[in-house]
Amino acid sequence: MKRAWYLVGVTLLTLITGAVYSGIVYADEYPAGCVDCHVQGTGAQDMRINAVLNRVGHGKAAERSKDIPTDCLRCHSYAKDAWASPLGNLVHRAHYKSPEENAFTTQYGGSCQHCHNMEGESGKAGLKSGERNWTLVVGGEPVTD
Amino acid sequence: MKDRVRIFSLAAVAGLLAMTSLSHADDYPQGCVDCHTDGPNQPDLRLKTLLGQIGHMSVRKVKKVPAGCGGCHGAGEGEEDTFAEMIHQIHYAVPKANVFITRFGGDCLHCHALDVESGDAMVKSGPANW
Repeated sequence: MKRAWYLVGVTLLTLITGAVYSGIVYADEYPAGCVDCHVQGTGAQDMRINAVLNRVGHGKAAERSKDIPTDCLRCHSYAKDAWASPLGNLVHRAHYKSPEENAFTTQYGGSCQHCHNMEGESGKAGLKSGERNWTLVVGGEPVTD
Repeated sequence: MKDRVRIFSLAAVAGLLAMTSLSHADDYPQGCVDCHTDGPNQPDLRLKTLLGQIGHMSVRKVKKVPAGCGGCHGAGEGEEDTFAEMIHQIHYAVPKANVFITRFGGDCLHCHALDVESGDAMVKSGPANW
């Protein structure tokens, strides 16, 4: 009899967990996209975009960009004569390659809508953007505007 | 007590496995036609049927979905965007009542595919199921 109650309890717990998990689909925890997810945090590594790009040897243009990722498109556009590779392809690869090991898919569910927005009424899909979450320093002086 | 621990551990492992598979399994590799189906315990949700119900012209000759829809819905300048926006509206408008969101999680990757090597995003397509 006791075992039956345990089973009922475990089933309820599983259902509640499922309901909470499915809620992730609807809540937008990252309305500003990149900068809402790429934060300094308390982990071992600073995950802000400027810090991540510094670690891979990206130039200073990233540090100076204000709206992320809109300003990245100045170089990473889709034009044939663009200075750098198209941003969408770069970012898709960074977030979806090796899905078993990729933190975006293993820890964040790999949802397109963390970075893209969808206006249900118009049907227009877009790219979320937000102001950089670091202080720009030029010549040793912080730039605030 | 041991039984309790065993049952709880089993449930926890099963739950975690189920959650992980949600992120990676592709239940709809061919997009539209893998979701819009007919079956014994469900209404006929094939696109041919749904479009017939709203007075759309016959799609009998369309062989590949949605690639074949482009014959009409991609003919003029900007038409392709308009078609995509219409499909987005159908699947994302009124999210609290929209079956694509409430029952299918509203996942873009049900209809879109991503080539992880190139980073190209695309629309899945499959042979018509009528």
